[in-house]
Amino acid sequence: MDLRGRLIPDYRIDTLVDAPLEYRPAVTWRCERCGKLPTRGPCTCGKRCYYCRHCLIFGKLRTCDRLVTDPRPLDPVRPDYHTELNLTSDQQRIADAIIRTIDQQAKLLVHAVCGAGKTPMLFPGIERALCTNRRVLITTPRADVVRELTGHLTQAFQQATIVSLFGGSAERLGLGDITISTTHQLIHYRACFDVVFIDEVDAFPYRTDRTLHRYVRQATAPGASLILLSATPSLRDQRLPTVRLMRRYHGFPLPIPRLRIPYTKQNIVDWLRTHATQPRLLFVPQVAALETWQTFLHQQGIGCETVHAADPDRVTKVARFRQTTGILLTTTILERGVTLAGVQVAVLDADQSFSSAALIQISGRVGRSADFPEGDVVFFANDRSDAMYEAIDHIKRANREGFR
Amino acid sequence: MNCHLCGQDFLPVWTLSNVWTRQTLCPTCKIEFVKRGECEGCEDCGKPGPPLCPDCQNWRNQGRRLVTHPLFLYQTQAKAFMKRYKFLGDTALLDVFKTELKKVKVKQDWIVPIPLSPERLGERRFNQAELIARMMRGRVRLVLERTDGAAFSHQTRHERLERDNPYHVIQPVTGKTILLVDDVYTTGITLHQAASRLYEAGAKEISAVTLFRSV
Repeated sequence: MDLRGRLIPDYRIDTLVDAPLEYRPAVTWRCERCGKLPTRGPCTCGKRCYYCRHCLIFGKLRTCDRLVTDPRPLDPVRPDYHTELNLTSDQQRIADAIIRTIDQQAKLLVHAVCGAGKTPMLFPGIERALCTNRRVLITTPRADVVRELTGHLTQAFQQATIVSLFGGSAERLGLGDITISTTHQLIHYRACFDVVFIDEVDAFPYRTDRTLHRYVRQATAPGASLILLSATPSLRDQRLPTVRLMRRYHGFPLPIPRLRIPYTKQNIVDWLRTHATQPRLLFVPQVAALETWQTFLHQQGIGCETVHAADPDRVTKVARFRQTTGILLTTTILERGVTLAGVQVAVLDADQSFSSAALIQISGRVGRSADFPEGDVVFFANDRSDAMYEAIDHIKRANREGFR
Repeated sequence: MNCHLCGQDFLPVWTLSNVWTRQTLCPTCKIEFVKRGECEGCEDCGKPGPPLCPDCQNWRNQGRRLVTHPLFLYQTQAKAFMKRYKFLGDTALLDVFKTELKKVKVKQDWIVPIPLSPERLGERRFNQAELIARMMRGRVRLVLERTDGAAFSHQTRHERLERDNPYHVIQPVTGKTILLVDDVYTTGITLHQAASRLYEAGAKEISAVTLFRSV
């Protein structure tokens, strides 16, 4: 068991480690793993024992437990080169900016619209990092995005060891030349990544959960370069040096959402029928609304599937949807990180609980492939919300900037 | 305020009758806990259904009646609670049932929690039944001890019934009335085994309270 760069509770060690290990207390006035304040709890150790409630799912940490790490330095990174890319001039500009940031060990925000081709733009930067002996981390709050990125990167980098970490992945506590991880899994790592990419920085829960920011900060080595990627960055992130890319890789403008205010249920049935030859995504505001819409559509003789965050076969349902031209009812979990060719999108009750960032991301699902660069996005609503108009305004402005 | 169980932010509803109580669960989590009334279901074990379930009839025929009062039914949300409380070890979560446990009327002399085996206690480092017992109003005595360490939740009903009694009494209990406390009542075998050992040791009257009754 290799513990270099990791920090784990001592009861997690399952094999014998023949190395000088460094132990430190698990809970002092704060939890040494996640940094939150601990809670008093009963324990057979007989002392005043505190434990951390916040990182409990990673294993309970008490005052009487110890955290263990291996202080020796990590192995050097194997240099590797990516396979051939054909980047557009706009993408090349961003890629150069990323390389410059890595050389200067600085921070950068890449503000690129949905479908701008963010993943291939990272490859020159990753190549530069690997060739200058720096360990690369690509982290994102969403496990779906981790799975998708892993596929892209294993194709692009043949020699480098690529480890992908998410809840339930097989490569627990692994550390590769390139590590792709959810932000949660970084809790076990300390000061071992020299180049950190954070994809979808504004996604839930990274946007609101400050402890996740701490996990990322603890996992980065001193002097690391940090590159944030988003289509809808928060104002806080926009204080960083920013490069903008407001044009999709295939050169077509972003589809601008249409508004349908007010709407009736019949309008939605009509909309579904007009796009009957293509896959259709319907976004609803709450999990509870999924079932009411599904039963309604069944009464109209339209079959559909539903997905939500707690759905056990969520991955298989989405995979099945990719191949067919069916209808998928979903909550905001599919707002990012999914590419579906030729998909048409409708947002039902778009005035309710959708933020403008969510609506921009949802609109960005449409027309991502070069074969189907156009598509239909409709916001069905019975009332007007600021978020809807902000989203449309943003998309229009992005198009104007991209085609100036 | 954050819900103790799901962690979601919620706004407690304060009324005149609950200003002094702690509101620890969000409304959606709260309704998931089905309270066991004392009137309907089996009068011995609280199982929903006929007034005397076949299992309890069986115990009565053997002359080993034990009246148990479960507080809640062991359903989805209760299972989520137990997973976090017992298996992940989030002991502070028991606060959720504080008011309910304080309301339990204890007329018995002693409250006796079901013990864990030393191996299991060393692993878990707390006894979930003891914490429940300590939250009730009464005198908690640890008069029982458990010797074997057979894995528990993974046994079938048949295996449980066949097993030898692992409990024994380590303090004199002669003439005492006793309230046994456990976390979940599934087959009742645990409580009956403990009760029979206590009767052997001379306890006068025994009844039991469990937090959940599995259905």
